[in-house]
Amino acid sequence: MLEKKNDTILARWLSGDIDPEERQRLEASENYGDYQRIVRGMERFQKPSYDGEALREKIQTQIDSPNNGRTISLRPWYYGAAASILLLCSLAFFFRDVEHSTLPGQQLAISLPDGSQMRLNANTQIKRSRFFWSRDKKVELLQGEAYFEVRKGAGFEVSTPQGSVQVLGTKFNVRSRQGHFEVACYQGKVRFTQLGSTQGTLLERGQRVSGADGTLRSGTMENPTPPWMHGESIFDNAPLKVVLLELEAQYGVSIQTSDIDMEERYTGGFVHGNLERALTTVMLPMGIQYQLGPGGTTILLSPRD
Amino acid sequence: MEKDTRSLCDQRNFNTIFEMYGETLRNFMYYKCGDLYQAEDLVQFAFVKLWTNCKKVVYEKAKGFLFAVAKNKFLNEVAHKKVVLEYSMLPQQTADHESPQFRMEENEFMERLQQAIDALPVGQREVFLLNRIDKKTYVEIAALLGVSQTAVEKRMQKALIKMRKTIKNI
Repeated sequence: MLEKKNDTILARWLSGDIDPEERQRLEASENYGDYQRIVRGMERFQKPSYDGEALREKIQTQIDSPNNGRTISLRPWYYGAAASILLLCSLAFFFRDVEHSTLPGQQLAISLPDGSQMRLNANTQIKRSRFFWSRDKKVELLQGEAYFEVRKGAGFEVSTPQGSVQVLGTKFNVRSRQGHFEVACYQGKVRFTQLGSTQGTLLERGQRVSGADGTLRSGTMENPTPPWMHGESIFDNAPLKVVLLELEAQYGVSIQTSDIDMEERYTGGFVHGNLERALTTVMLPMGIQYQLGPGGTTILLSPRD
Repeated sequence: MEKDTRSLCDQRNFNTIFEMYGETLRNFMYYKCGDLYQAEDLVQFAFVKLWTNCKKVVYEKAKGFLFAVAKNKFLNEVAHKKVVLEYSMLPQQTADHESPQFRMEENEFMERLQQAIDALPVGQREVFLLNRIDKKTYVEIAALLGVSQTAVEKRMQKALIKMRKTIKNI
């Protein structure tokens, strides 16, 4: 008869291997709430990203390399041919970039190999060089929005379809959605160079630059970190199109418009987590009425009569 | 009892073993050393060793062999770096009473959890993370580490207690 001991009760609580009376005792104990909170928090962690293919290729390369020492005899001749093809393929895999992406409504915090941190806003796709050696810290913001805290500035660069950001300081936010971009510096200095230009714009803490189609507009911010990290999206004279893209990204809805000027400017913001309230704060001042489609995932906008 | 006579020198069997244990071994080493590159190198080392010894290792013993080789190689290497895990930022709530303040506190709690994980002794950390992150059962972990299920449960409990104490003191 196995005796279940007190020194495994917490572990067995987690695996469900616990008697009803043990469970009662545990739930009544003083620190139970703390353990529940820890378990809930642990649920939010993700497995470290794993590229099985690349690793397998690396192993294969090493196995097939002539410097390996022992060669395994009695292998048929065609193993040799297969191995050399594999070697060529493995080099390509070896240098492949790492990709990260978020779904609508999802935000991710990611640590980079050099100790820097990045946070991705909803509906964002980003690529980065695999190894992050000192001269090779390239991050490509394919589309979406990300906030960066860079540990060592030298060589860290974020590129977007509109231009690139060289990091001279530590904290900044980059957004690029459908041709509209914004770069905001929260600490230190960054330089934004538009695609096709050699002249860069220097941004210091509290400064930002935004635009589309080659135009540039500067502005300031007072928050210590981007609002999207704290449950709100805020806009200053942004085209309606950008506001709608962010609504879609946060809520996972699809917005259709009829007879609406997408370039009209909006200053204000909306909360995450309450679609009705978000729509009211955006549409009311703009003189737009909205209708929720069946299923609650489509929204139709039209001018208010 | 039928013995599994599959040979690890057959590339297909070797690859099957890689598919089954590659990721878990990689994560296990990462939870030990906190460095993804180092963890990958150790996995590579272990699998290459398995290949060169493929005639001497029975198929069923491959898993134990890999983990033992990786662990031993690690023991000869430099002290660990911090284990850092990605986490999803707080999901959207529909209830109004969840203020931005609450969300910020919850995200700060995640950072304290990270610190607490890093403060765990390595033996507790690897068991704790294999169970919580990789979702391995105590039975599975016991088989991978070559210890008893009770030993795993004891380490798990010590980890939870230490996490709670560390967080209280941050």
